[in-house]
Amino acid sequence: MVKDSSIITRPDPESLSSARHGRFGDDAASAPVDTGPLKAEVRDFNFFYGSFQALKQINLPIAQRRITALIGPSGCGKSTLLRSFNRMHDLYPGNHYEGQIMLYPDAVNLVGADIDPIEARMRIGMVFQKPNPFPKSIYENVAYGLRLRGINRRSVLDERVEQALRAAAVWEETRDRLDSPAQVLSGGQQQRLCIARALATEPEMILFDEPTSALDPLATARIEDLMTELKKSVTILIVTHNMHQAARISDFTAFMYLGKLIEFDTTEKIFTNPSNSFTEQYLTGRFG
Amino acid sequence: MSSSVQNLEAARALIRRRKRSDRIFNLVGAGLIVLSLLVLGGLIAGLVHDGAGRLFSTHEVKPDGQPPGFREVVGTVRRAPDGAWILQQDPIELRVLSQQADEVAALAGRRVAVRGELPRAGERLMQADAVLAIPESLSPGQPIPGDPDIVGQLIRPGHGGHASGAAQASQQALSGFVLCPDPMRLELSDGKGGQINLSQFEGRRVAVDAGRRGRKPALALITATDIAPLRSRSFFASMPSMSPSRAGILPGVVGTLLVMLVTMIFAIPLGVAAGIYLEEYAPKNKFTALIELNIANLAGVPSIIWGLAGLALFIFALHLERSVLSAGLTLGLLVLPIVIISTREAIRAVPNTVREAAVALGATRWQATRYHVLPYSLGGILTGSIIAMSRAIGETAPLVVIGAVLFISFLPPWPVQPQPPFVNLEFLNSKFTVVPMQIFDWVSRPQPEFHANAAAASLVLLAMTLGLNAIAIALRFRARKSIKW
Amino acid sequence: MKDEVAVAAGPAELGEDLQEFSFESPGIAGAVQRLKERAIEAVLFVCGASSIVVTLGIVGMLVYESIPFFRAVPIRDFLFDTQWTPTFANPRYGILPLLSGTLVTTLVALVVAVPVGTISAVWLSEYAAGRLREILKPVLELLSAVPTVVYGYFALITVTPILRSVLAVFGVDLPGFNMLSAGVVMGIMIIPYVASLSEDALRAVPMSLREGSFAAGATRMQTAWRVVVPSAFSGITAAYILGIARAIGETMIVAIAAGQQPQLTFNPTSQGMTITAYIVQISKGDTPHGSIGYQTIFAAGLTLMLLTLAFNVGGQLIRKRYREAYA
Repeated sequence: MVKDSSIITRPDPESLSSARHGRFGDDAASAPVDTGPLKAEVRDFNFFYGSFQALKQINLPIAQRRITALIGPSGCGKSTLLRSFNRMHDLYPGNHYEGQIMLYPDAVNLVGADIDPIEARMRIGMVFQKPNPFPKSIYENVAYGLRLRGINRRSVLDERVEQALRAAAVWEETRDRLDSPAQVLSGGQQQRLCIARALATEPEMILFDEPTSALDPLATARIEDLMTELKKSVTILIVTHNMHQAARISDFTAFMYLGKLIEFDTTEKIFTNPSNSFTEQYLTGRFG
Repeated sequence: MSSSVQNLEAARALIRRRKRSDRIFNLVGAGLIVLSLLVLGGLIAGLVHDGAGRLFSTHEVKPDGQPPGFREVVGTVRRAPDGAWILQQDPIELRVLSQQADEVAALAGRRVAVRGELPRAGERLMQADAVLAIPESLSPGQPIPGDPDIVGQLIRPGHGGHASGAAQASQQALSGFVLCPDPMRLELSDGKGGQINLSQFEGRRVAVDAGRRGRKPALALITATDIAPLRSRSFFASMPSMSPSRAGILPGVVGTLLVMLVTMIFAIPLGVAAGIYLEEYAPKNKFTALIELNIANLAGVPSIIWGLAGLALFIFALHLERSVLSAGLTLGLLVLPIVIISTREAIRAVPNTVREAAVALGATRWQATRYHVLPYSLGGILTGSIIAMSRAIGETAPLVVIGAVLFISFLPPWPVQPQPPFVNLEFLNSKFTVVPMQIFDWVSRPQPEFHANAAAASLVLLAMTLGLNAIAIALRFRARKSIKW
Repeated sequence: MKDEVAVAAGPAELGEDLQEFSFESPGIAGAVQRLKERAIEAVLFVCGASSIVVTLGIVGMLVYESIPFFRAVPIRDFLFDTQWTPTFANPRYGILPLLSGTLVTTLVALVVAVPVGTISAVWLSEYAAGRLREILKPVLELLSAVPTVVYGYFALITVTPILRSVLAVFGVDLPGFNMLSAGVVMGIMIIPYVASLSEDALRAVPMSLREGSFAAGATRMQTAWRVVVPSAFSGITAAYILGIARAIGETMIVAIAAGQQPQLTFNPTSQGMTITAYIVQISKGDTPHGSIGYQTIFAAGLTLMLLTLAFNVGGQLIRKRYREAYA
């Protein structure tokens, strides 16, 4: 590996090896990262789109009630990894998972063949890059997940919808028009509505897939504040193209490249003193 | 912890229930599609069942194309062992009155003399008033008593008999009592006193004209004044007729081809040109949006309205006759919107980069269109035109209104001729019929025998339309495969 | 404009830009070339504008030919009289029986086509694998490629006896000519219209909506019916409306199987006559041209044209709107 930072080189993927809780490759061994209690753990995880291997031997802890960010250049597999948690890849033919994504406390392997994808999705919520409210009223959007779980009593729904909208910091803007179609909201409001929709079912973990990339800075800031609030009750895994966002809000950061996990550590450590030179090159803009 | 496990169990049960409904719907959806296709298959199977027989059937005609007259006797000319000429008639089916059935059954296997109304030429059913046994003691040469109308061997089907070959096959097609007629000696004079040489007819099917008195079944003799050889004519080669078994679709097929020719020549160039203009040249403004809406509407106008339009325009206003020309133009109007729409879609599928590349090299708009866009969209245009044609072939209602005749006894003159100028346009003015009209006519008649004709003609029409559709789909696949954007 | 390259323009916008450029050769050769271009453009324009001419022509012609009829028959009688007997000695000209015949057969057709077509469309769009869908869609469209006169045969000869035995189980008598068989077969013919157009509408719904629903824990069926179908609602409605327009305009199936008696009834098991079948009957027959009896076909045709135009325009407008929503 070239350590001279004045030469820009394409990192050679074959020479990289995956990180295991912070330890990696030929470089000086560092102490494993102290993450506290874990909500989930990715173990020896490989993922294939058909015959193309998109994720290679990923080992990653997800700390409970913390924000873990996945960063890396385009095509590194961070969205692929994120979407494996709630089995979104099952929607498209030809994909398969190898390895484990364990969900605690009951140590269920989310990608195991014996687990129905719907079960994983009932426990883990997701917010997408572009806000995607359903063509329904604001109320019904939030109530959607509750109705799916068989909760249909109006009084219960009223309460939980309000709770979710408050938790997503969008209650004041919607309380007077709960029956209006969700499309009347602005982009930022719609995204917070989608967060409310995910929160309403009280998931154990929420996946955020580049949630603010389609929003203006003001809306972005509001959602970042929201996430910092949310992590007190819910574990958050976020994929972001914007490394500064990761630096702002996340507790732990994982840097990925070409399907491998290059480095995982506390956000402070990664951004101030990364152990791997590729991490440093990415963070300083040498490639990406 | 236990409550969350309980929740998990409840959640899992819910998921299982939901997945079951999901699976059921999967089956229902797939099943409905299969059911629809089965209905289509049932339709075709029904047609085959009803019409396949008629489709491949033949009937017999004399050299002048006419069927045998109803008093003529039809049979095969053979040579008897003693050198005399005999006429072997076909087996016929006897329909007896019920109280005679047992008596008749008792006579099975014996030679009988039958009195009754003889079947007409080509028919097989005879109403028998009396069936009498012929005394065994009768010697040949003696006239058979009882003044019979026909004499022969009475058999029940499946019991064999001395009929041979083709006669046996046709005998097996009958039910009830079957009579295998005795061969009759055949004498022929041409009215001028001379004898006609019968050896030219040996082994052939003929129609013999014996008049009222020429037939002498009691003496097993026919004295005929005229004889004509018969040949088979298929369903396809026959003209409509009062008799279902002799009616055919020849004028319909010819009419369909001629009308389609006119439609093609009128609609395809015009439609493709309009499509090119609208897609490549017309500016995108409210007016062209209106045109687009308009064309979509025209595609949805009921076909009978097109018939009324053609009637008012071509026949009342332009005073064209009720002819192939007005029919072709009317159908051309009908398919025009389809051609325009599919041309536009084919051209729209060509990416802009192709046009831009041509323009960047200095091409004018027409050059870019003609040499760069059209070659790529030709496949789609062709497919759309073929589908439009297949639609036009099946149209009946507008042609009824325009005035296609239901019963036609002649064929329109053929457009190509061996003498110069090699093209004959008289057919344009000719009255005509088309296959769908014949189907409509036949299915509207109460006699079920005509329904068999309708089924057979439907099979022909289906083969034409589905065949064209299949060609279009195959072309579409090929075009898609060879062009990869 | 001259300095800009016409990038990412549609073909027509490209054309406008083309007019700014002049790469043609100068002088006489250039003039000839320009003339040729203009001539070709003029020819193509005429062809394109012909469609407007045709539409106006049809409506205008129908109106023109109906004038003698409407002069002779007061419009109140036409709209509200309950009998349609133009060929009788004492003719009556109420269009209601023809309208009821059209209505009943169309309704029966919709009862068949809407459920089957919609469910098939949902299955094709949400459940079927890509290749299977590519094969099944054109095969399903074969149902609409069968000539309607063949469907008429099917209705009269095959379907009526089947329905008769089925209804006999319930003690209902079915005459040989009835609107039920015709309606059922018409429905079968329309299934591909409804299914194909609905499926296009369903596929136009973006995948992100489906992912949102699945991420919340929904099954395929819940996603399909709670999210995708409501999103595609206007496109599906357009499919239904266009199907209705097709059913209203159908001629041969009803002419063959539904009978020749105009009846003001809503009972599908009875005979009936639609507007279209009436036009066929008169055209086939001996009514002298120019008589009021003959001109009735234009009055009937005008009514039919207005009805189908209303449904077609409505359906197309709705379809355009949903297409733009997901552009």
